[in-house]
Amino acid sequence: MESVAGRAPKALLLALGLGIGLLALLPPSLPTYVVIVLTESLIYAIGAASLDLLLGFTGLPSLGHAAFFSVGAYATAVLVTRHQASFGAALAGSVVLAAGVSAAVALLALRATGIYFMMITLSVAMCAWGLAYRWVSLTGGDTGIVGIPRPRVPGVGLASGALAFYYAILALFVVCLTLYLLFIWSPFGKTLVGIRDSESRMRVLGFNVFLHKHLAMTVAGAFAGVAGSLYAYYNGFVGPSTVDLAHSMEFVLMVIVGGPGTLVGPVLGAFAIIFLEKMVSVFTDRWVMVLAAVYVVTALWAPRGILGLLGRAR
Amino acid sequence: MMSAPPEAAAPALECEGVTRRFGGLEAVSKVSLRLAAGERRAIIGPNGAGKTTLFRLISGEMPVTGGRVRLFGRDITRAPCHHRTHLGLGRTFQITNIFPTMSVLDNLVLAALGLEGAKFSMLRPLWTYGGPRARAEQLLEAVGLADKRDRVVRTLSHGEQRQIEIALALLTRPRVLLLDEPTAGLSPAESALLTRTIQQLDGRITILLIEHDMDVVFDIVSRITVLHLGRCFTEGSPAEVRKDPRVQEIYFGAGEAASC
Repeated sequence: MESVAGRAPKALLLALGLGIGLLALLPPSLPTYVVIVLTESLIYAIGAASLDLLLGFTGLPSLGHAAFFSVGAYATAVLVTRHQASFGAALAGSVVLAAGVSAAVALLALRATGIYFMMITLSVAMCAWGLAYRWVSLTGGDTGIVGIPRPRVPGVGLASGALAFYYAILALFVVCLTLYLLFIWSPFGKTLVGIRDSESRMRVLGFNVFLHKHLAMTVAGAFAGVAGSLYAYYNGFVGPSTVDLAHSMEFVLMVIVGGPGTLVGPVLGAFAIIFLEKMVSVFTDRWVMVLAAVYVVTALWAPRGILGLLGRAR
Repeated sequence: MMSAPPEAAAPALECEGVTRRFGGLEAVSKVSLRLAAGERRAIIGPNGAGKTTLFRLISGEMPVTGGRVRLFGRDITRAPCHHRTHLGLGRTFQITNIFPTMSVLDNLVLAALGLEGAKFSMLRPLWTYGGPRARAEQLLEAVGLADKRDRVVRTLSHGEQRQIEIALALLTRPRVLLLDEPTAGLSPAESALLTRTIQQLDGRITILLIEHDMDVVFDIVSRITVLHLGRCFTEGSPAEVRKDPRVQEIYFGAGEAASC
């Protein structure tokens, strides 16, 4: 990671500009199916990057990120199907609720560190799954919530076509990415890296380590809520499978495969995992096995993920 | 009853019967110390005497099980660690504790943020903040590491890392500074350099120093407290302590062992 006290990292901004340019220009000439997979990748990229704020930057190994993603997804599903909420209202509701739940979980989980932190976040994810399954009056139980209509985007109208919806998501992705970059370059973002490197030093330097970690979890929860809300619109359906453990692990894998603590890495990781999933599931149902193999290969030969490999090749 | 207001004449740092028990073991036992403002004091004692534990109790990294700690007359026994830093207490570590993945400049800028409200700013890049950056660069100049500013600290020599260890603590503007074996693992030349850095610190900074190297101790401090088995063993000027045969005994293990 480049020095952030010194200057803006120009190479990174150039690469990002290039990537977003391609994402903006290519889709009209791509098959509809690919555009749909790209849409899903962008949504997961927002979610994976929010987990990277915890896992990569703060050193908090949260295993329950799908819980906050799902709070966002269910909030949007309920607000849209039962209260006819507008796109903006549903998104805002999802963000506030996911951030709130994340803040409450943080109060509990941050009392522990290391493996105990992992266990608490894992059990939170399991509880969220249990609630999604059993709290039928709110979540529809096993049937979930179906028939979530595509959003009406101000100035564009109903983003019902695959391409129109894609561009709406791309625009939100760019907004989120900008906020993420500002966040990790900010003084607060730097304090999180300091906490990852040495909590004891941060304390004697005058930082309230618990408060910083708590705010980091709240912010990450808010962004997971954004991703969850967009996912509800994208999928048109939200059910217990959105909350399950495999889903949490997928987020972790996106971060690890991409390169933790790089922000851009997990975005690439999300694209890699989603495209791989779509390709593999054409041939076999055993997607989780392939996912596990990807994890083993990454751990053995690319411990710093895709970005680590790119850095080494340079 | 009102608690007495902190007075100007109050000792900079005061420990009163400070105790830390681990199960049946008293690692620090009823230690009382008083440091006047600007005083430079060393704590010496054989391994396991409780020196570093005492530092952890004073800095608030570990709660006491008995006794009180006061900073300029203010009772800080229950104050959290980061709060004590804001009240003017600084600390360095025996085992280098810096941010290994960051550049030298980033290390110092981060340390300079500790006391600033800007540390909670989330939407403005750090490089747009002039204040912490200026303080970091000024100190970088002072400790002679300006030409290493963009190096990742992991790649620096041990001596340079020990300089950064102290530089980080200085950026919290301490009025009382706890130095835990600042010259640990240094060559005699590096040790002399670091000793000079410490001697040149602002004379108003009160210093409590743990050190095994007697040359360093004699160059810096005016009083020595000897800690042994968690207790204050004796206290005096460097010359008195050096002459004291009992101090030599505990260091060379003749104390309790003599009766065998």
